[in-house]
Amino acid sequence: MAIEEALRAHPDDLTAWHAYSDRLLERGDARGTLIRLEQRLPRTRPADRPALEREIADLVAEHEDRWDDGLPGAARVRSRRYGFATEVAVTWSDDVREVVEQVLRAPFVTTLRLTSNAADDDDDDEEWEEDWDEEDEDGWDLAVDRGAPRPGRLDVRALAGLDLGRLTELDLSYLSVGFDGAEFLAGLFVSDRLRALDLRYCRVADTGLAALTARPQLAGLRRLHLQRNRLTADGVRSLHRLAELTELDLRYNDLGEAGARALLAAPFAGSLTRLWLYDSDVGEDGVRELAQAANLPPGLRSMWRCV
Amino acid sequence: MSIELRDRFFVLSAGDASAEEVARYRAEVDAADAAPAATVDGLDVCWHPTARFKAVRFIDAELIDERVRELFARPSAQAPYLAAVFADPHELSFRTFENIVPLDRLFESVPLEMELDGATEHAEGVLSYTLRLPEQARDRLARLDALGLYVPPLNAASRGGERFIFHSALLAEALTAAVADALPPSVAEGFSHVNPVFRCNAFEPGDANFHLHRDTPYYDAARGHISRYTLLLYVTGGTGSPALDLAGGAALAEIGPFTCVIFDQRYEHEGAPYRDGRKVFLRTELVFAAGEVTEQPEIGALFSKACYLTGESVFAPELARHADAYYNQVAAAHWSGLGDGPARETFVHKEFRGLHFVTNGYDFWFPATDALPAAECAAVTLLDYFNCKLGDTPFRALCRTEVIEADDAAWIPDFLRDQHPTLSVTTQVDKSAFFPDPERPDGANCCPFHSSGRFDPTRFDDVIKLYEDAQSFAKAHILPAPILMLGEDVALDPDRFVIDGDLIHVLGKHALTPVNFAACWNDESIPEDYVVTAARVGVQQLLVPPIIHHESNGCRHLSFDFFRNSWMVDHRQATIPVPRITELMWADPDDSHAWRRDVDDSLIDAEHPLESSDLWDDEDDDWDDDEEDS
Repeated sequence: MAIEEALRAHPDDLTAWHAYSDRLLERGDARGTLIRLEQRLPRTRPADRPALEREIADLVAEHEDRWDDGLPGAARVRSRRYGFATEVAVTWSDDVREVVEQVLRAPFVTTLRLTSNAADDDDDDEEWEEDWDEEDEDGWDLAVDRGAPRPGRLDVRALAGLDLGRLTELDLSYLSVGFDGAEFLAGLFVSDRLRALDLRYCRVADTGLAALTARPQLAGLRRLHLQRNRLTADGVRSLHRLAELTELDLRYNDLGEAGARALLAAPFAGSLTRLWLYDSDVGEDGVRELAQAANLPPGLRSMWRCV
Repeated sequence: MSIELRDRFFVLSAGDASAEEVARYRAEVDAADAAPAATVDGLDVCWHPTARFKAVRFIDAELIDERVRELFARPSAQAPYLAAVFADPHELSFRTFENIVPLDRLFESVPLEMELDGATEHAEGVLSYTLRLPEQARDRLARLDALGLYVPPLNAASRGGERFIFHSALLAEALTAAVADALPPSVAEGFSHVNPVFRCNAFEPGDANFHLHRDTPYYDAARGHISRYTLLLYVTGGTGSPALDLAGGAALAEIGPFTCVIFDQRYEHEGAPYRDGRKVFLRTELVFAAGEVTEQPEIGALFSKACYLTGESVFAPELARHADAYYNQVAAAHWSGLGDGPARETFVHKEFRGLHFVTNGYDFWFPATDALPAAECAAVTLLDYFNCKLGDTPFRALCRTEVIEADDAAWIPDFLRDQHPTLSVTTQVDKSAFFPDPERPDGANCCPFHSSGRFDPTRFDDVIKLYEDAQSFAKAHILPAPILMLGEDVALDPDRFVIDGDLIHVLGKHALTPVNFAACWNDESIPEDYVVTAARVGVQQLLVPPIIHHESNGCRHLSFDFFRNSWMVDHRQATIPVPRITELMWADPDDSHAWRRDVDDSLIDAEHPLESSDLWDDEDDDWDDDEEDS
């Protein structure tokens, strides 16, 4: 529906939500009333707010159970707007593609979090680490066997054919995506709406990160979490394609001084508002570079002066 | 070499050395350089004198980090719990300028029942008594002189009388009971207690007189207290010419041992050494309820200026003379109103990293420009007033200072306009960026021993809990601080400077209540070894009255009235380590960089709790092993 697409693109457009509430009321959806009540709340005198808040709570309690009817049972709603799911978590499973596909049919889901199955994680751990070590020894230049997933690694190809284009935020934290998984994942982004991507502990390495950042559709990313991905200065250099970044977490990667230099050469260095890195990630010389960097915002630079 | 420097200091302080020997020693000290060995109450200290650490202080040895405590001398055999530390005089601020030695322990377990006998009224408001007290108590008072606490500063020009200041609540309490019983009703009205801060003075025959002066009354509006009478307790007796001369009152030529003289503080007085022996006496005040006292802000302003110029005289010695003039004017003003002071006023022009300002110690003038908001002016004023440290350097040492005498303050706006454009010297940081959320625990992650080289502390639940506790502690210190020191950078939290009309309120003392958070571990290292230090943030903990703020003639004019005493004033500078979890699969306990080791234990209190550490258990074990071996 065009109005739903418009609201996904501009979720703070109160007028559009008001118009949408008319349609909901026409079809007897209580969320139409909820929109009206919640929009009235900020304009209500403080003395009258508790009564209105109670009315809202009663309405939600009465109808909430039915609001997720269109979502698969495996999906967990983490955030809502006017009763509609906006952020949903899905546990990785054999039928993950079908589950996600169904989630993305819900009108206002724009944030998706895929989580690992904890039990599977435990089973996979040893094989996984061996795999990581082996890759370490042989170097990252080895040709990737694209015919079969690596042992213990999630088969990201299970998501083949999905259209992730409506997402503004995607969280894959702690999933063993791997660099080949990252390369595959890059192809799933067919729009430029994504603003936040969480890939912490995903082991994407420089190769996987380069594949992702080469995708023009990801050029609008603002927030990126990349903790513990075995990134080096090369990985940081591939971030230069993400000119809009404002928040970046690169902790637990051995970037060295070269990484610090690469970071300071990035087009986004001067507009960062948050930068998470530790001294052990960039070394003493790297800390010095950051503490003296003229192109880092002063507040960020000062933080490096007490490291 | 350093041990020798340390011990010779106390030998030479006894005063028997030749001038050449002292000069040689001073030259050696001036050539000595050393890093601070410990930090006590925010002050860097060393265990021997150096070119930088020249101001000796006697403190309770338990305040010193136990790892270096033994290096510090215990110069007083009578009070062995006192350690001598050497501080940098440039770092002293009004709170640390005087060394008040804690001496209560000297009077513990000693019968202190005292009585004032044989009252004699020498003149109106001048009384003397003989103090009767148990032999043991007499002995303790007599021992004060032999404690070895009369240590002149290394830069002292000459020796006259000697003195040290000490605190003893036990002695004050005993004297309070005796004084309350002895005072005539006309004097006793409103008497509260004897001030527990004593000055112990000693003069040898031939020393210069204690020049004519008035004692500065003690006034605490918060508690409604004021001192009205001075109490002198002569530990030794003798004859002087006269030994105590109260101008317009009485003169006492002969004084017996343990004579107690109480006199109205309106009297100007002068003391001469005994002709026939060493003169040792204690001075303190009788404190009364301050019922009908009228506060005069002008006197507070004058006292504030005097204190500021005293501190500033470390950098510009000529200012000591101006400070003395202010002190005398203040003491007289308490009784007879503000008389004529010095004809011209003393100002100090300072430049700090391109920012110019002028002060007289009470008023601070800044150029009014958009680049320099009122909050930043207030912050710079606080940095200067409390001489806060930026990195390793005190603020005042980072300023270029120029003394200017003038008839009044009218010249200041034009003067500041003529300086180079004033720049902002502070930054702002997002404090929450110091505290990233912990990672999600991974249940498959066991201890280092069982993980065969694949242990990930960043996702281990016990380490994460410690990290959260450490964050909670650091947040409770850092988040409420109005001013942070990031290396040599100064960061302001604009939310902690509230401008309300012509007042700037600096919020800072209300710490946030920390949130407290409550396996298999079979390894030589312990989880605490995996939480290490990411950064060290200096915080200014301030409790100050609102700062008065006006703008006129292109100047921001800020006034501090810290000495009105209607407000509690407090300032502490502390360094708070910011925690992080190490990425190392194994943290070697023999090379531990644990965050907990960087925490100054004096920062742990009810408002900032922290669980006790297991890090030192191993050391204790080692110690025990050594003992067993030997």
